[in-house]
Amino acid sequence: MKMKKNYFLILVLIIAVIFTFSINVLAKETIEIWHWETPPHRITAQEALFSRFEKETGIEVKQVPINFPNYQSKIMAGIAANSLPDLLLINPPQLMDMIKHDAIIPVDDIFNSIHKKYEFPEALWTAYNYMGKQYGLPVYGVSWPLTYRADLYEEAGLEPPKTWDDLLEAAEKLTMDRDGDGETDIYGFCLPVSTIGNYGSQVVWGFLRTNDGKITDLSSGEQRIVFDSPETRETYEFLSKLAKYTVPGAGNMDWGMAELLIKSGKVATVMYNGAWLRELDEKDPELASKYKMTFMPIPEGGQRKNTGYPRGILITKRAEETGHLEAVRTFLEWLYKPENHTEYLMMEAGLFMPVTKATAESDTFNNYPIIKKYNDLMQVQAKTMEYISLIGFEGGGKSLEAGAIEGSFLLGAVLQKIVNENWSVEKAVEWGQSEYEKIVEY
Amino acid sequence: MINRDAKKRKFILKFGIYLGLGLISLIYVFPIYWVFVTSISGFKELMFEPPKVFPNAPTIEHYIYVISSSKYLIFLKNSLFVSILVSILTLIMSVCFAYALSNVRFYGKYFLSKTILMVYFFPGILLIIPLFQMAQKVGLYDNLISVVIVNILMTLPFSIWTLKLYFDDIPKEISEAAKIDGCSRFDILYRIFLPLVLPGLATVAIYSFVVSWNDYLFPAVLISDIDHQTLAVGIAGWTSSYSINWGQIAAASIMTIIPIVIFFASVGKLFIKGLTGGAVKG
Amino acid sequence: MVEADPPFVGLNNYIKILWTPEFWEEVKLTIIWTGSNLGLIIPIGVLIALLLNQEYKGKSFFRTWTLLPWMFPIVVTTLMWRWMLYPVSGVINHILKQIGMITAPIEFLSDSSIAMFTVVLVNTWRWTPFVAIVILGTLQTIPKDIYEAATVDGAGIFQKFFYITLPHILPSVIINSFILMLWLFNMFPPIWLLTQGGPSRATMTLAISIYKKGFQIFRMSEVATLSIILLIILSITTWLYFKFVGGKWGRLND
Repeated sequence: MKMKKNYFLILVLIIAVIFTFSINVLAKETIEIWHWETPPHRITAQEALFSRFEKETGIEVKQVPINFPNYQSKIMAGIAANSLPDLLLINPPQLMDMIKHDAIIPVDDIFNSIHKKYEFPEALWTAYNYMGKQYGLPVYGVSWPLTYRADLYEEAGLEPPKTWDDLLEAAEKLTMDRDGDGETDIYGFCLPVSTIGNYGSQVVWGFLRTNDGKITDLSSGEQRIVFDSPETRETYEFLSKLAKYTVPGAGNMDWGMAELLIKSGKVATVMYNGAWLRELDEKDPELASKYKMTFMPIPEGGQRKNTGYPRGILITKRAEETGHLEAVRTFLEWLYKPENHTEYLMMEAGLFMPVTKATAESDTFNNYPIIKKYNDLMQVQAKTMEYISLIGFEGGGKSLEAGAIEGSFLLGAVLQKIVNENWSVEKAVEWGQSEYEKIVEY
Repeated sequence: MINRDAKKRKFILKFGIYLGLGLISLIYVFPIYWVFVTSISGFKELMFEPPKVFPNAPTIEHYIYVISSSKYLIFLKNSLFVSILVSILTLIMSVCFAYALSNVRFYGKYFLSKTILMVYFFPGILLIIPLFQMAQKVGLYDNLISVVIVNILMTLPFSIWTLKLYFDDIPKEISEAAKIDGCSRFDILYRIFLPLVLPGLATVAIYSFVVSWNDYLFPAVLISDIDHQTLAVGIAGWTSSYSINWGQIAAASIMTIIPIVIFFASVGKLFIKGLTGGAVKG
Repeated sequence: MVEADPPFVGLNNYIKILWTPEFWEEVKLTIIWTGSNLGLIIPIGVLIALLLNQEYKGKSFFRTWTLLPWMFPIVVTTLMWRWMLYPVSGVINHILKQIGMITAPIEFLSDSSIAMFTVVLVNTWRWTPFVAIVILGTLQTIPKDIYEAATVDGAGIFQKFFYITLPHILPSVIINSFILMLWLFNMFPPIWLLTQGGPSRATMTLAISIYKKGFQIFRMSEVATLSIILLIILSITTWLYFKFVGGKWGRLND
């Protein structure tokens, strides 16, 4: 019996020790930031950056990495419990939800002071401007230009596609059997006909915007859904032709699977960002050097547009309530200094694009090894950032429902109706129109 | 003659058992084996060559990365804390509850035994917002204790029902005889019942350990500090939408299950003990 | 999301939802998902348990190995499955092609006519070990001398199974089928991680739909309505199950 009692005592002791450990004794000022950069190398990189900041200013920055699938729900829970952190990393469409729920504050003075020093390009900072107030600062850019295998294009005597017709021709010609075993091993284009994640919808969006198709129209002051238009139908007509030359498994294609195709060199043309660059450069520099990037192809009478995000940092109302605004200002002023900002961007070198002129032109950024080596890819990615078009922000104003419009992945769902279920383009687009109307009316 | 027939039959039976076990192992373990192969393959072997049963040049770089450059060890410590506590507390609570349901008469028993299942009536995702708010209010947000409590809630109904069935199987005469001998309720439970239901206890222990080990949703919602996070959530964070490193993810997940395998192997001994327990009973 | 002062709408929300064809489609898919999973998991699980319960060398080794699918973090196994099932570089299509069973790759997860089938198989792979271990525990409590006595009386394998083993494990099978049914009905991670309800809504069960409505297009009141409907459906099922199956076959109402 004595033995048993000892076990019990030890258990109680363990619990007690853990309780004491979990009570935080904080003396210094701490600001908290939520983000979804969860892979270990990104967490470590930010830890190093933030601890350098703490050494210089005495302010602790506590990072809370949240897995992307939970990000939205955790923010909603945070709003409901009034316990958001001081800073939030965000995609522009979700900005509108934050404004709708009155969870963030305008930060014009902080923005202006940083803007004066380092200059944000207009296309990027306006994404965070609503009704003349600045609600956040772009922090890094991600854009999805057309990525293609230059060696394959050259072999086939093709120029990088400039128009939709070029792309269709290339997709057909480059779907081929290279080693002669009777099986296709290179695919001309990767068109995700999927609603798993936002890849499918973002690709459709890119094509739709080059043809000047829209989902919302706010130019008259009132929000209207203008999805069902000749431009939209043309776009889907074209995509249904392109779908014939796409990679198998398009119905379950997301960013991760497409990246697998790039890393294994199985696809000749794909809409993708520079996420593959770091690993491929390290493991297979020969293949990495074969990839080039260019602008989205444009239809006849179309316009230059591109999909991408200027991801941004928002300052919450909670930061104001807890009196952290000064610390937040110090942190942001520090973060945007070109050398610090470069270090921040290099947590995913090749993918995260600078959002200020000062950083983009700084030596620290341009002399960073991988940036220097793949300078042409960086140039294209940076250039396409200027033509970014965001879902829900396209119609001469910003839709308050932008988050839901994007999150519905309806653009991909309409393409699925046409390609998988053999709906006519007219019927599918009409269906899309009515679904969007339901989202907005709700 | 009869002897030879019996031998033949026994041989066929043995053969059938091994064939079945082999087939099951093959189907069930192949994907796991594939995770293992991925974890020891280099980049080029994963991406280019047609899939191979074993990589030409196995490497342990991914394992080294997992241990040295990530927070694996911190996650491991947190997960062990949660899972050990959950399985111990679930065992204690479910034994008491199941014993009462099985052997004590009280009003509302029929209704109570069904209503505890109501925990499973909702998708767990619906609990995110209320749980978050509750944890904030009682000051357990970002504290692993809250993850332990919620996990116990989720594992209890199943554990109670499992143990209740084991208790139901024990003939009533045994406990009545013990009562006449002057045993207290606790003595009956501790001395007579528990040794008879060792396989049940092992089932509950393994179940609650594995469920809390792999629980993703609750730590993701209730924990904010990366140094308080558990393995399941930590590993999930590696699978971000871009720049997936397959080798590292595979290595990390192999290292995630090693503690469970050890736990299972040690608890599994209770099954063998349970065999003798079963013999006593009849 | 969470409105401060929501208007009272009576039963309007319920009528609206019960009127949409999508809802009934989702109910149908949920029933297909739950039913086919149960139909595979329980029999295979019991079979594995019976096999593992035999006398043979390497017992503990086999027990641990077959349980591995259930122990692995689901985020990783589903990711691996997606890669293995992938038509272009996936190992499963590669093997099938090598042994000459197929000529063109099968689109396991991207073809809407077989996506549900694939998802069910992956989930069966994950959950049968769990049922096996639960049933194995119950099998351990059957006294060996009963079998010996039956052998002396000349009972065959099947007789022993139907007259001794089955009655003994039946209550456990019945209650576990029920709990598993509740879990499957609300199960979110496997479908979400494999297909997110696609392609073309082929795997859109109620749990997936609730998540999409709540956290992607922010219709919280619809989510609340749906979960109350779920609660009612499952309460009625519970009542019926214990009344007609549990009490009679499983001795669960004592």
